[in-house]
Amino acid sequence: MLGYRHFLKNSKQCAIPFLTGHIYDEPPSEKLSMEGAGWSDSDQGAYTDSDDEYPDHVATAREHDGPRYKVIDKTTLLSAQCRDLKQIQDVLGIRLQHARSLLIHHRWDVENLFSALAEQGEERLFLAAGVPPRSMHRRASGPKEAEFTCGTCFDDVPADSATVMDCSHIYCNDCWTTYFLMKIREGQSRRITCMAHKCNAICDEEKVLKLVAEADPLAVDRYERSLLESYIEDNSKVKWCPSVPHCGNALRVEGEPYVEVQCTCGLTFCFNCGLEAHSPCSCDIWRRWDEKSRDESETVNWLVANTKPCPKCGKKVEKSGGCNLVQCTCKQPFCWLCGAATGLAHDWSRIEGHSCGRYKEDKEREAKKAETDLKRYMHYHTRWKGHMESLRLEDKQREVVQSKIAILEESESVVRDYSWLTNAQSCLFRARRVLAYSYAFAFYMFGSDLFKDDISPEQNEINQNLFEDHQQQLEATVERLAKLVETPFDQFRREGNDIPAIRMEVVNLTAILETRCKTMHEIVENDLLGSLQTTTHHIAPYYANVKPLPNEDSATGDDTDCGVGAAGVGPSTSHFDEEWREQGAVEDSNDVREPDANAGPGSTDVKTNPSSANPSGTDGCASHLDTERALKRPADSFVDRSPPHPAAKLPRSNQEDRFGGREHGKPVPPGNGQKGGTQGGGAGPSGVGGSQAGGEEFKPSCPVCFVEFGSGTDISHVTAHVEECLLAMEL
Amino acid sequence: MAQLDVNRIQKELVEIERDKNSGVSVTIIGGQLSRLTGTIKGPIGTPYEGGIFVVDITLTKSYPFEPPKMTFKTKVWHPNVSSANGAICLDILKDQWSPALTLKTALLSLQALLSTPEPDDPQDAVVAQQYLRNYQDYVTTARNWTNAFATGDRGLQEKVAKLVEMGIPAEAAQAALEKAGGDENAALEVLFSS
Repeated sequence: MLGYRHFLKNSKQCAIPFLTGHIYDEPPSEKLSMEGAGWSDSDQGAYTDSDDEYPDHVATAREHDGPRYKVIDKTTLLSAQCRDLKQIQDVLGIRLQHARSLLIHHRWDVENLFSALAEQGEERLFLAAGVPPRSMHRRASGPKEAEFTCGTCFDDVPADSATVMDCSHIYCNDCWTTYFLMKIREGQSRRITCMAHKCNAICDEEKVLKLVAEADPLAVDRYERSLLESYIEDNSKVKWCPSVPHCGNALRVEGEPYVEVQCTCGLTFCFNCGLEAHSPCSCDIWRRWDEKSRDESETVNWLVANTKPCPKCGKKVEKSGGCNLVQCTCKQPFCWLCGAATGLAHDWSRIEGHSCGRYKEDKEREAKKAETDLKRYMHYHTRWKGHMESLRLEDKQREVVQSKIAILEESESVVRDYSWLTNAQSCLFRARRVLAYSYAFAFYMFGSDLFKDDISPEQNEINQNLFEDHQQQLEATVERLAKLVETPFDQFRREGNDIPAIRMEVVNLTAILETRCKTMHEIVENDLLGSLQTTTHHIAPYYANVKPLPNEDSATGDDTDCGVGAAGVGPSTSHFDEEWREQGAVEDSNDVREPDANAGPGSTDVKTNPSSANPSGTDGCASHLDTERALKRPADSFVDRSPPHPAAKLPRSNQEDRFGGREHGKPVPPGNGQKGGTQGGGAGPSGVGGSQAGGEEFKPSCPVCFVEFGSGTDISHVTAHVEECLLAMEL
Repeated sequence: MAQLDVNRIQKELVEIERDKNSGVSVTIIGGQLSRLTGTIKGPIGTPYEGGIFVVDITLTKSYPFEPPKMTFKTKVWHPNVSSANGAICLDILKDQWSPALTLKTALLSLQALLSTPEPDDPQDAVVAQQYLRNYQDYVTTARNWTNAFATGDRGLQEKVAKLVEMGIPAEAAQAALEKAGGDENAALEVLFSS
């Protein structure tokens, strides 16, 4: 806490009689606690449909409209890597362990492995990965003589107590065992090379297991687990869930790492940096913001630039005008330029008891800049903090809304289905979060030095206008929906007519909000970050549905083929299960993250009931997919930001089953006249802040082909058209 | 595992003793097999020729599965050896160690390192720069260091005695010799110029 009050007085010769003191209260940057902020379903991330580099992801994203990732728990870990191993085995016709060595060397990237095979040829590929040449795979045999001298202990040993590896190097079993145990203890299980000098060959898994099992069964477990977990730790597409205590799951992303994912344990995080979900901030921007809000560096900067400690009492003194002779409240006069103690007399040429007369212009400029920076930071931080606080409160509201729904469902209202309310609430969550983080983004994007080499001041201003315009619209919509969700629905049950009207508005606003969030992400990714020349920043695209892909890896099936204990030597997968449960007993020294023993009863569920662990999510999002699909637009269409017709975005079931006849001929006006949106813009950001056509009559339009319908068009007609369009697009 | 493999070390020592022409030798310090001293002859045709370099060897309990710790006790002017503390940058003493290697092979590798420095992977940046930019200076300094420090106490004592005979105090003579890298004439210059 830097709060203090300090008055300074100029000496009598000064033109301005007083130097004002300042009160510094609360530092502006108080780290907000993210706990309990209800992140669980508020995140998203996927591939923009404008992403040209990954066309196949776009294609598949239509089938599963959300981030493309899977949750790997212990039941699926084995089968997940089994698939990759089998693929390599089948293509190259090699043994499991050699396939594993190759894959570990290529970080479990099958495509990379195959391209290396095509480029370098099999021999070099094998050599680099430590796999002995094919000719040696089956030929290795023991020593021919009855007795031989081990090259490590120099003892003469009988031939039957020696082991030969695939690379044909022979040592006695004792030496091998000691060596293996040491390597396993050092956490090098995945790449135990042969003992011979300059021999790069990876030791045969079966032989390692056989020898180690006799000496130390615990080491066998560690060896096996290490090989299994290599799929997570040596794989750039898979990462451990960063939950603390650790839930034991890992996530596999298909495609780009810039995606926000949600583990089945409920934690949502940015796959790329492992920190909390932070789009529309890029990872770098978020790291900076987080650090800044943690260490109050801005306050400190300002103090350093604007104040000087009194040479006598050490208090911070600010000079806001007047000459360079200042006096602290402790009556000590000192020179402002160099901070040294002086006498009280001051004239044009000198300060009494002091000869420092140099004036430093850059120092003054520095002070001014720090002050502006602090003001900027305060501006953005206040808003960020405000929205984070709202987010926290809205999380608490969740239960309230649920209880309202319960009351309504019991009442005999015309509306029976209240999923629209739950949907609206989760949408509000996501949007609120996007809004909050957009302030952190704006702080760095506009006006900070971070991108000063990339963007000219003029362009920066245009960008800022574009961004702030959308931010403003997003903010307005968020607040409207927030208000609407808090409506006391439960009291409406006697007048049944109100509910359908509110439902319509909520559904409309939800749809608009989804579009706005998406647009915000697209502007940030394509227009703002996309135009950077010297640095690369990416953000996770917005997705309403954050559910992982259905996990087709079964817990049973062909596991045994790929288990490290496949040869029937030593404990096999069941042992591994147990080990997983009792994590923490033995740890490889360099295992980055071990599943935690404190994972709690939740994780036990995952083990005993694989179906509950299977994050297929198929129950929850079936109807959602239609909505999302309708929202999907062609890649080049994002410049047109007019929202699709709200009705077109309704889940089909809503439209067909639950709409009363009354609504059919009565399209609902959109929230706040967004129809005007930013249509006039073309590709450039000049289209910012298009006309707010608030009073204009609403005409439904197709979100796919943008054809407009007359204002009185029947909604079923519009829906049918949209479906046709979607079908045509998919074809 | 927990015990030092006495058997193997003794076999190694016997082998080194047997092959006297290898140019390396190992002796035990204080009856403990974990502390040894090795010596290497400076390779012929290099600035290290004629020198005997003493190497301090420490064996861990995991030897031979872990590499022996080796440092030069004798001061050496070499890109891959620290001129300050004798630390050695050699791959086989680190991650490239193999249990199939022995003290003898390791010392022979050190000998090979003396004749073929690898300035691109330096331990001593100053020496490495000199090696790359001013090779002749490097050769001179390395030879002077060899003469001063690696020819055994006898070499240095003889030179000190000579200087003392010329009427110079023993301490000053020794300091000047060290300063001049063991070169008598240079040491004289140092002494008379001051």
